Amino acid sequence: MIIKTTRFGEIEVPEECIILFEGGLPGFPGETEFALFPYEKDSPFSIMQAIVNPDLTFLLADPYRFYNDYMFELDDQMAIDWGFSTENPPHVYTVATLKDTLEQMTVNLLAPIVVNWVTRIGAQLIIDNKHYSVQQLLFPEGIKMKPAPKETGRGG
Amino acid sequence: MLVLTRKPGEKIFIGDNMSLTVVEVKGDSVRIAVDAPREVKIYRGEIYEAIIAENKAAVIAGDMKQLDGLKKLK
Repeated sequence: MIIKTTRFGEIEVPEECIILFEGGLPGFPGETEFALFPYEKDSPFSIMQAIVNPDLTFLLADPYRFYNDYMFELDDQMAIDWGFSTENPPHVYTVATLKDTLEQMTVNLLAPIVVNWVTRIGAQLIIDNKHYSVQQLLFPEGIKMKPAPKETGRGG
Repeated sequence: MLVLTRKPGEKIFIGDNMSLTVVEVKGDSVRIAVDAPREVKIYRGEIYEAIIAENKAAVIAGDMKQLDGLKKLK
């Protein structure tokens, strides 16, 4: 499928990377289809581009590449309704907000995007966790990836 | 917008399958019980508004070149 975008011009996106968000996103209730693809090969970042609205482009970050102990509880009923299993686990992304410099970039840990890549359905959840912020610094120690995961997390 | 006055213990029905009950009024706080189907999402107003504001702020407005520094990250 060829879509028009403001940031990338006309791009071709395979059907397999188009995700349906029933009800859209908070603030964008009418935007129900997005193409979701890696920013670069093996990058922790992804691009989420609205299919209909050329202007609507988000940068997503894989939270587990930055926060080893990021966690939230997925509602049991949602897990059943969405058909998640160990073979088809939910894929989690966080929405990044660009600032003047990359070092100031933040991610929204309170509203992760959950995707079922088998059914290609997604949703932005709103989680209840006072430790997380809608504006969590992604690079609190400058731009570099975290070293090996810590042994113990502080938990949710 | 409909504005109603309710006392503790009194309810408001919204449609056929949702209700709000004023549980307690203490000082400047009101405790409300919400009874709604599972698929109806319920959020505190300030949290939902913060998510909307952050989503709007997250829309990439500038040139994609501003992301070039992320290319080295694997």
